[in-house]
Amino acid sequence: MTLVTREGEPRRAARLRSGQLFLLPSAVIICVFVLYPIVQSFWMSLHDWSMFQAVHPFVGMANYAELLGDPRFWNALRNTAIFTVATVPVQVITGLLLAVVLSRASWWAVFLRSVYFFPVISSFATMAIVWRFLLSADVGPTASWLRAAGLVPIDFLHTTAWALPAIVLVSLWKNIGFTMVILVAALQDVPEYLNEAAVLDGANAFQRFVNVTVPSIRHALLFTSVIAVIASLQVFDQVYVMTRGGPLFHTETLVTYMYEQGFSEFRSGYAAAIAWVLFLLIMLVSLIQLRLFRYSDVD
Amino acid sequence: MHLRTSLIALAAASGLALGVAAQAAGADPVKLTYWSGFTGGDKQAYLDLIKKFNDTHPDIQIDYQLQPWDSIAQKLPTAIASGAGPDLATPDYNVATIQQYVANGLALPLDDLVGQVGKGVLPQAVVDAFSVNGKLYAAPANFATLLLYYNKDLLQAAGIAAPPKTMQELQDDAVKLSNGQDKYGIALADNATIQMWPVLIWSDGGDLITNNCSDLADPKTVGTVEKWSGLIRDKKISPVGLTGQDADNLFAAGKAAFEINGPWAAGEYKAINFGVAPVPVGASDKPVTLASTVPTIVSAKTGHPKEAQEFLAWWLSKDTQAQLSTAAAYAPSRTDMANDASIASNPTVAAFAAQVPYARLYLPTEKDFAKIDTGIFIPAIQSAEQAGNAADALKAANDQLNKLLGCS
Amino acid sequence: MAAAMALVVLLGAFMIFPFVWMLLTSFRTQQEIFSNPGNLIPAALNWSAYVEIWSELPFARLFLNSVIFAGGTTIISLLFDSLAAYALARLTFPGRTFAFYVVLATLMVPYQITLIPVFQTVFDLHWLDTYQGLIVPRATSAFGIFLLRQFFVTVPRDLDAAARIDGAGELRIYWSIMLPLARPALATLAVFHFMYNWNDFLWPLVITSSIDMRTLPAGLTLFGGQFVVEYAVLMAGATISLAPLAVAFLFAQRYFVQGIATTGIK
Repeated sequence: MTLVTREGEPRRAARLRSGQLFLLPSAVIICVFVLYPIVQSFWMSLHDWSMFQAVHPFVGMANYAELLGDPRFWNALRNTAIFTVATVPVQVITGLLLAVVLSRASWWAVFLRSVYFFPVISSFATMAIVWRFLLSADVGPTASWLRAAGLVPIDFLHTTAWALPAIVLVSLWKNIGFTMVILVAALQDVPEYLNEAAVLDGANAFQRFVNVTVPSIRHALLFTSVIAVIASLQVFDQVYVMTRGGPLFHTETLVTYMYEQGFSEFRSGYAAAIAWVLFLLIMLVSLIQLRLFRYSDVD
Repeated sequence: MHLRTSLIALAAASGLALGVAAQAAGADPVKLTYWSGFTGGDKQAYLDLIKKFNDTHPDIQIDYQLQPWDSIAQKLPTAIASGAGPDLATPDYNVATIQQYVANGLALPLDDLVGQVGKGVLPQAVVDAFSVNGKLYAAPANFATLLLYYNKDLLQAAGIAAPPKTMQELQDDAVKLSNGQDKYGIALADNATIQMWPVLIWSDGGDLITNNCSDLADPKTVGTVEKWSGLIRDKKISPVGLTGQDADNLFAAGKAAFEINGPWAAGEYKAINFGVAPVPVGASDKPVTLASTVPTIVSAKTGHPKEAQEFLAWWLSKDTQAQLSTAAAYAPSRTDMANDASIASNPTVAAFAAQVPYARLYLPTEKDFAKIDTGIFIPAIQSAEQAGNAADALKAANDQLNKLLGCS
Repeated sequence: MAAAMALVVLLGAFMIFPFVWMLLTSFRTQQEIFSNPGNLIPAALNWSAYVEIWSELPFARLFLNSVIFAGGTTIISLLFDSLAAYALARLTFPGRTFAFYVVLATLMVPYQITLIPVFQTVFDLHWLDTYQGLIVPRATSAFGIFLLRQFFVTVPRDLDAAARIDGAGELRIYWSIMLPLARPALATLAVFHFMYNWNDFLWPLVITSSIDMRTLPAGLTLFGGQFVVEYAVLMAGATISLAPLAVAFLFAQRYFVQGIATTGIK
């Protein structure tokens, strides 16, 4: 029997065999290393789970209850929220402005776009080492430059008031290029005639920006904002490398706390609970963003 | 049927082959993996000794792997539990961390070692710290005391003739040697370090825990922390939030005049004209300093318990301890070497060894050591340094600690 | 407008500055760094850091591990992702739609949820601190499957129909027709995967324990604190670890950009 119909479609038997076979490697990996762990993670969060104990007593929602009463958790949540609020708007707006200025095809625009994008391709953990060195008051240059400018030198990463702002700055440095690139791609898809029509109508640059440019790329703007928020809520690398959550827990975030509970204290159940709270938070914030956007999306 | 007999034949043949291979393997040396955290100024001393062991023991070879301390702390438990971890390891430079390893069944009781070396040879404080329920679970990789390192050039330039003998003198000198910008009187680390603050507290008669209850709110403790944190805030005698490594870097760069540190650091300070002096005496009028001993454990899942303990016995032998002392200025871990010529003839070694009678271990047997040190004590100190609220911070820490210890 | 341009250029300098400083500092001596931290230009071109990095750290091993991890994951992932994507796009079989939505759903779940149980699984499989432990859980990506499936759906059906009539099996169609067509998408995905895994910090940090198995980011950041007090050596290590991606970026920039830009088209 042929495996092919007259129209060139694979026969049912062949389809079944190939289809499932082709899917098999990915399916196995996703089942074992993604789907099953999702279930297992929730299961763990309902137990007092340590890797070295043979018995894992069921505790129901006790881990979550403990979280609610844990001042370190609330501190981490607050820091994560502050970090997100401080980073995302600046990142998106700066990325947008840069995209508007640099979305043409001239060589210097292309060159500058590469410059802004370069931090994105670097390893954050590795560059965080460089930043930690840059911001160090003892061996780094910023202290002597501040002094030379007549200002008081600050040990950014060891001062409670400045550590989180320093992390925000470094995060912006890393991610603005990412936002810019997405918005440049979106801007380049905007048909020229829209702008030309606005010029004919007598609109100035600012009016054109607000009434033509921004609305035409609103989907990309939404996308980039949602991505930026989700990434900010998950912040880890730069905090772990630069401050380990210090000084005095002023830069501890949800994921660094989760990591410490999971891999230093080996409290897997508690760490899993933190992860689920994070997941809930991400879902909530994303839904709110999408909802807000739906309302402002008139046409 | 046919298949089964074939399988049996195959199994038998493999078993025979393995047996033959095992016989031949008897001639191969036993390979022991050793995860060590000695990445500091004493690194070379250990490397040399390991090499000496490997050269003189063709039947046992040590694969010595250096890792940063926090990396070992995170990775060692699961590595041992998985069965694929090292045979020997130094879990942490803090003694109390072995309690978790023993509790989780990850450390081997060193009965062979005790048989070979005898418990009486080791200092009692060490035996107490390393034993659980009467069994010894770790051998000391070193035994150190802390002294006051001072930068001779900086002191001379400031007109200070001799290192301070009392805490008051140390404080005054530190103030004189700080310029409020980039020169500090003392490099006082408060986290990720062999602890320095407890020395200050002990010298004034205060303590962290007495009789299993918190002493953090004791007026002597509070007074000490207030005095020092006040000087740090007002006179900038030390940066805040230094790790042990930061403090070492600062002293090595000639930017701090004093540092309370152990013998391992001497190797890092080659560019500095430094001296060591006993830790100044505080309000208690009694000399006191910190003792530090790093435990070496044997994995409970090791395939070679005998050989691992043989290495530890060699490590604790007189010759090895003498070489360790001369190379890295450690006091020997044995109690029967006080008059050893090699110790007495080297002034730096003798200086560190002379402090042994006054040296105390820091929280040696606390099961919740990490919670107490990183969760309660250090934040209180840092809060006092940053916000100047020593009394309040210590009161809060005191309550937290009592709650943890189950003390009212 | 000139003011805006000036700002853009200034900000651009800020973007590049850490890399420039990292490179220049790798040529300074420790004494120089301590005495003159504010200086940008090294007094002389001191190459010793680039020599010492190989002995101070097991740097060659770290580099090799990064190559194996990032390269291995990328190649295997491209294979598995494209196979799965082709199946989901072209071959109908029971459960196909369900499978597609499941793949999509997993994109919604943050990696922190699965990190700890996967660690437990890898531990139980005795794969901790091994290459397979690093690579296998990452050997397929929902993102890659989704991207390629969207691509395959747009390929005209006549192409593979004709091949089938000629007697070609599905595997042959996949290998000889679909894959070559998907080359741009595959290239973009390859760059994306390689970059992501080369730079990844948390996953190798969690899975590896011995120095021999660490990758560059995890190795450098761990040793940077206690192991290497020589800052020039640390900067040299950072420079070398950045080099492969920087070089690739210079020559194949559009693949990097495309990867990011296409994620916008969801």
